[in-house]
Amino acid sequence: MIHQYRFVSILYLLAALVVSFSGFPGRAEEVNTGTGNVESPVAEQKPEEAQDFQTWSFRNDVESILARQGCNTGACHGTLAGKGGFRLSLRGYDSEADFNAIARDLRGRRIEIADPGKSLLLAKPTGALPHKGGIRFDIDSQDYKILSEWIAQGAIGPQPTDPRLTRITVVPENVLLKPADTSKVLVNAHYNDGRVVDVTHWAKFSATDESVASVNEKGEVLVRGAGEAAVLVWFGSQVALSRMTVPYPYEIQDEVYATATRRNFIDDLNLQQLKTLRLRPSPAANDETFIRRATIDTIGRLPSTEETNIYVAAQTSEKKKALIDRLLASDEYVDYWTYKWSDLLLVNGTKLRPVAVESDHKWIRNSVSENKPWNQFVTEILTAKGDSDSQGATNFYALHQSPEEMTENASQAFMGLSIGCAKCHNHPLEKWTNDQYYSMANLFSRVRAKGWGGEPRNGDGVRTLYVATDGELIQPKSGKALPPAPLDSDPIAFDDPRDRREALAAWMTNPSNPYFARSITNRVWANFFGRGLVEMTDDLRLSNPASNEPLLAASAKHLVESQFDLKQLMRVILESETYGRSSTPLPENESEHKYLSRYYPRRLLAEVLLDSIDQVVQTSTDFTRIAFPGADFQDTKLYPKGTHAIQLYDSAVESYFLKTFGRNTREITCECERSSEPSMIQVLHMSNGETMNPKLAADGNAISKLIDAGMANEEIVDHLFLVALSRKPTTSEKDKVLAVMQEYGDQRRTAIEDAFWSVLASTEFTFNH
Amino acid sequence: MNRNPRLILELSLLMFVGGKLAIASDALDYVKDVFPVLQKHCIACHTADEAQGGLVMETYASIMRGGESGPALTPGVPTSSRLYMMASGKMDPIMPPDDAERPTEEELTIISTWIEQGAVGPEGEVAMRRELQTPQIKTSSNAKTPITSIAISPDGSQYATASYGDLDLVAMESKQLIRRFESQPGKINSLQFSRDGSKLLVASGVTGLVGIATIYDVISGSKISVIEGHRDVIQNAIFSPDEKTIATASYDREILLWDIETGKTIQKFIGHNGAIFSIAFSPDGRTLVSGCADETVKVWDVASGQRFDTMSQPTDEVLSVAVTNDGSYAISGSADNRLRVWSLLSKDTPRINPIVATRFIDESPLTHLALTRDGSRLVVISDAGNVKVLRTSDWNQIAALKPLGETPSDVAVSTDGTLLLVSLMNGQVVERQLPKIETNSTETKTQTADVKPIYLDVGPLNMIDEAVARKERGLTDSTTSDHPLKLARGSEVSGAISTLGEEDWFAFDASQGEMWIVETQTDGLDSKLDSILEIRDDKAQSIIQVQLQATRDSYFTFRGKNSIQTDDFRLFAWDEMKLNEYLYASGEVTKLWRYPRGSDSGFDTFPGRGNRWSYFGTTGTVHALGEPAYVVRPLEAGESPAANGLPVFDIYYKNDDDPSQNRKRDSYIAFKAPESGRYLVRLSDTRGEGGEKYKYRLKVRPANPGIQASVTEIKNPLRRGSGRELPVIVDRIDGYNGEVWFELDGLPPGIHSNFPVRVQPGQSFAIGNIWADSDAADWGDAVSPRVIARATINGRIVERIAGTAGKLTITDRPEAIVQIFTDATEEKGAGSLRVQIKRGETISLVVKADRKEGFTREIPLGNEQAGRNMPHGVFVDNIGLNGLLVRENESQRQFFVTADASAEVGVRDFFLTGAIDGSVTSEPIQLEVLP
Repeated sequence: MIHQYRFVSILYLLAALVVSFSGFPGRAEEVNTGTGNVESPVAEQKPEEAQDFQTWSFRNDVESILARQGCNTGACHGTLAGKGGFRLSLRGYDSEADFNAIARDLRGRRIEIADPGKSLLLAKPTGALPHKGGIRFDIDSQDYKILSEWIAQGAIGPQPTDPRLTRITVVPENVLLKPADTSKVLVNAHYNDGRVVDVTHWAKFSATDESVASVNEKGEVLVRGAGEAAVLVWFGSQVALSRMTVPYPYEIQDEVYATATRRNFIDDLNLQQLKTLRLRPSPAANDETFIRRATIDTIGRLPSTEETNIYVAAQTSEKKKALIDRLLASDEYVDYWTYKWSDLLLVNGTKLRPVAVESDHKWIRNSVSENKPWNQFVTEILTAKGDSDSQGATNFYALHQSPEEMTENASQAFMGLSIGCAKCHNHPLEKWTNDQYYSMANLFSRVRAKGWGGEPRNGDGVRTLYVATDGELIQPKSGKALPPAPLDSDPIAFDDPRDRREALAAWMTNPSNPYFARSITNRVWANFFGRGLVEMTDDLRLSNPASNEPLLAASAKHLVESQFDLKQLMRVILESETYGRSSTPLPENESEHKYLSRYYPRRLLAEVLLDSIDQVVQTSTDFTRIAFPGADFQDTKLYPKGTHAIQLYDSAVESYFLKTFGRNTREITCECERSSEPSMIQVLHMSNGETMNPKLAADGNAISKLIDAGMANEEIVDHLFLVALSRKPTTSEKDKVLAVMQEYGDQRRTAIEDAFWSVLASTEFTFNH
Repeated sequence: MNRNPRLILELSLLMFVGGKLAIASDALDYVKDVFPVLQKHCIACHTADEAQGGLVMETYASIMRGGESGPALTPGVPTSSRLYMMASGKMDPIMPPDDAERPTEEELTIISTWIEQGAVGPEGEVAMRRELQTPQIKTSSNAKTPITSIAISPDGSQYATASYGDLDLVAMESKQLIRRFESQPGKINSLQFSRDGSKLLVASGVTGLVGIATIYDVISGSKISVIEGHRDVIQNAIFSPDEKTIATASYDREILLWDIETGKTIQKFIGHNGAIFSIAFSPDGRTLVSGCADETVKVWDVASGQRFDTMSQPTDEVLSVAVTNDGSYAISGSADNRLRVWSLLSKDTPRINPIVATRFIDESPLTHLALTRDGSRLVVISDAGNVKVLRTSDWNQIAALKPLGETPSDVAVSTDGTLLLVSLMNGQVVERQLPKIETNSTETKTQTADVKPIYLDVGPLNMIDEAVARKERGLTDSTTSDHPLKLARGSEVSGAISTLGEEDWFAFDASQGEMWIVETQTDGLDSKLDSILEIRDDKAQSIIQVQLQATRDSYFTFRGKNSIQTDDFRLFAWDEMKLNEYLYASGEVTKLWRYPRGSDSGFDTFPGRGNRWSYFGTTGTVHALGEPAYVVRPLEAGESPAANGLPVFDIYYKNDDDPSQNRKRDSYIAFKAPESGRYLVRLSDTRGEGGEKYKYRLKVRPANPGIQASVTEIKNPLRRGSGRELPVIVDRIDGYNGEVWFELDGLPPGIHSNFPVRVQPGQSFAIGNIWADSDAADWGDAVSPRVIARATINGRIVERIAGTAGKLTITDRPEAIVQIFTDATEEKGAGSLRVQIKRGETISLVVKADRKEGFTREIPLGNEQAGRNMPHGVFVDNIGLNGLLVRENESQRQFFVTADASAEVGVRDFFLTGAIDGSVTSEPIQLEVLP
């Protein structure tokens, strides 16, 4: 799929600007209806007399001003408790309640119809009375005029006949700009009575990437740097994006892109974006780098020396494909991806009893082992029932016990949608409404369990999950249940006795669902590139655009066409030149961090790092206790000696190393729980801590074996580099290391240990690159 | 900009230009020139309530006092005045802070000039302004201005209404305007006639500036007195019962008491944390009750100004309060849509006022309350415009009047209690007739619903093999609702749910009122089945067994519950729940058995021991933290649910796990045939599983109510001068819910007991006691007295051997002998001791410990279950975290016993058990519960 940028001329922008200034929301000056097309949204000024006898609408006019002036934000009267006794719905999602608060509560304390100027609604924000929120507008402003006229007209509340906003559109939708350019985003509101109104003055603007373009409250854009970014526009609970493309200032011949190697659609779309942005792609990484990178990213360990030697020595053109095949078919693949999905599903020994941890992990592992298609995997979780000790997938419902939690976590994990905001009010940044939330949550209202209740430290953990044929979740605002419906899908009849979760699973995993395939595609993508095409991976809302939307769309489509076989997606990623690029920046791409002109180095996952140290030193780590909050431990016998960190079932297994290096604690459904932040404690732990040093000193470890085998220092250094870094040392590296080792005299073992230590503590070892 | 010619926007130039003109020549006036600038930019964050940096800028004097950083200004020298330097951005922190609008150059010049001129201001702390200078905007001719308040004169001939600036006296009959009072502009929030109708008290003010209360002479229309003092409008002003004082409650969070004669403040009631919307005096005038935006009702002592109690049950703003005419109850209506009633006890001293009723009245906030003069009825008005009438005898609704169709602003009830007037925000006044309480309006139960239960005996059950029978009748793979397997009346079927998701269907005939049991049994079958059963009608439709109306909503707090535990049901708003109320959550109905010990504990549910019981055939399920739970009431047959904004739950004849939870995964339904006809039974696996190993026995049999009884034998030897517990337990069968008596035969000489022991209706256990005289002789070989249970069930006496009391032997006295006394001075307690307790009352008793020489350690007597064998609903109260105990080296301890309003009237033995010598008991005493 090729993404077409529309180039909107500056001239056109100027023309649009001229007409934008006199508009009020809901006003009769209409923008050309019908097309909504970028080419012709010319606002037409209606004759003057049409504006007489204007009756202001609370829903469409007053609310827009309150939103624009920030009255109903979370920091002001939009907070749940209100401010100074005056409470508005967050960003005006509830017009009825807002009307009551303004015009009805306490006999209409905040307005005075008989003397509109005396209304608190006007006196406070203009400074006539002290207002903590400061002065929001002047008495000669348009907003003052509209509010005062609305009061003078009798403060009419929201009417059932009010035109309803159906969507907003922005001009420009896409624009190509240069650094230091300025631009302006215009906003049109489309109402269900067919009117299109310029509401730029009342819209809220925010930039998705301030380093590329910033925007002020009037929608005026200033380009600050190169890249792709968007301005998010909010008006009346609707959002839209105006995308900006700003090429980098590099002179790169088109030929660079034309002649670049392409393996598949990923390379096509990546190069197209690099070309638009004028970024030079880095050359391919060498074989040593690639096998280490691909092995770590795909199966979570270092390549063995044999694997590296064979791969580097091979001369066939098919060797990369053979490597990928081997990785995807390996047992470690199962360990690694089981661990990843256990992160996603929060398998956690401080929340589940051991029997459930074991069965949950086993279920995930079997699913990965048989390469269960992702849609089936998710369907099995969503529709799980039975006993927790035999039906591992049911533990999703032991971890999330209320319909609201089930809804929020299923949306988060499988669609990358954080809809929790809509539990209390319409989502301020998305289209999800409070009612949609409760309709969705009602799909889970009949999920019941018996047996173990959730006490993490006690009980047998056996819990039977079943689905009742009656029971509804009450929408607390109305005291009534809402028809169960997947977010924006049709509702199911209340009396339909079938498991409502089946309808949810069918909707969610449907290829036409815009969130499902994209979410898992993005998660897989993030595993291989260190960042998702959408960052964060748990935040796929519209207002958080992808760094390369065509690439995400095409990759998701590829996954759908592969029947949700994740290995097929991994294969195209691994095979692509884009993935195989060197991580060494070029002058013409070093300033970018998201368009994949090169590979971005990143620290190994905590678990992979620990396993890698053991792999190099030929030691093992013991995992014997589950750590509950508050220095409270329970012994576990689930992990025999030699268990790798990546094979652990759950995140609560005590390990200072894993904790320090930021493993995912699996408390909430968010990849953000995993930390790759470097810290001084990590540095100290690597150099002096109780992980590395005992391993280096252990009897019978790799060092003992190398000494016992009678290997010379030179051979040992060669081996060390190969096993830890998948490459031979350079001559100068080797000379330096050997020279230092020489200084140890008869302390040879110490010399070797320190050589190991130096390599293991190096950035080259601890990073994938 | 396009001006609408019909609306004229007159800008007040004074505020902005006045300063400029003045700078040139004259000295600046603080009030006229300077204050508006400070008001616009500074005062919002520098009020007495919330003085940022310790600086209050509301008055000249307070500015001159300065703040935490010292003086705000130095007269004569703007450049060494923090106020000016910060406001002009020449000194950090820049004021106003953050991104607030900056003062203009002109405004800054005003400030600097004023300081330069010596920063002169008015003397004293005079109220700054009563006028708000704002643009004059003409109201549209067809705009409806609200009527904000209404009052009916005591003789009922007139009523007063208020709208902005207009205060009108209107004749009741003719609706003709009698008089328009001269009134200052401002919102009038309340009106009240004096008792003789000669005066009218008006609460008003200027929003955001000042509160004003005015008393008018009704005849002449002149002002008798005007009271000013609050910093925002007065929401409610009321005469004290003696009409010598008035109390005013304001949006400014204060309540003031004024002497009408002098116009002086004589009392302040400080402590509310939000706007105060409503106040009410007790009839004797000694107590004031207030309702506030801070979600509380407070009770004040008028004489001292002291706060006697805060009632914090409301979960949203309290909009209206009242005190009943006899002074017994305080009432509130709040934005959480609930009416609450408290027994008003804190009249003389600080005391907790217990909540006696909570009623969900409407689906919108309850904005106004009005009691009839005779005290019999309470009118409740809601924000949505609904009018409900309650009777005060039980706080139940007697009528819902025609809805108002507009937001109400006030309500007034005529003295004779026949009529009410409601003022509306659309400028209208509507009238409603107030219904009387019908004398015999007690709930009329529908006769048809009471179908008498019929108990059958159909002889031995027909034994059927499902697979064989199915083949014989030509039903191939499995049965369906269309092709069920027909069962004879009284059958036992052997079968299996042999494939995934399979349903087995059966049919049987029953006549109206017949009591049937449909149950599965898997014991001995090595079955993996987790059965679920449902009884449906002939058309395969589910049958409603009962409808449950939610009367209170709540949710689980602190942690979730597993599906069998009885204890620790922690619920939001638990203090508004009562024993024996049904609790619905996730399809399960339980019943509250024992109160929490405090906010850090939970309810116990029935039966108070062992596994949790569920009711109406529902199944025990787990309950998640935060899961919604509702107190529910079963509706009578034919009774329609009240529109109280809470859900109604339909309970069907359906069961997953036996409601007594004694049979693991087997199912049990007690079915009363609503009509004569054919009924279907559906049997499947709860989880949708199936296979060869999913075997079952299904019984469709007549109900045979009965009991099984057991006793927990005494293991330790009796000790002279003390007793041992002998708990007795009843398993109730097929719905027998009545009392059960346990008897004990053959005690040795010198040994007494509290038998016969009674298990109360609906309960599952009682605690017997066998007690040895201090000089009881040893009887040699152990004796084992028999325990027998008796109950009268359907006219027959049913007798069951429960077991024995154990092998009884006797030995020396225990380390300590504990005994119960009515007070500390008593020498001899127990034995014949009988104490009385009224329902709803708490009494105190004393436990004494006669310690053996050298025995000093503490004697624990148990926690919430400390009172042994107490009647249901009577409990040892006010125990601390450590429970009831006689402390180390001490010999006595006072304790409290409370009887819940639900406690059964009658006499019962109770005792205490000390955790010494393998648990020894006191001698039982008699406790008589009085109505």
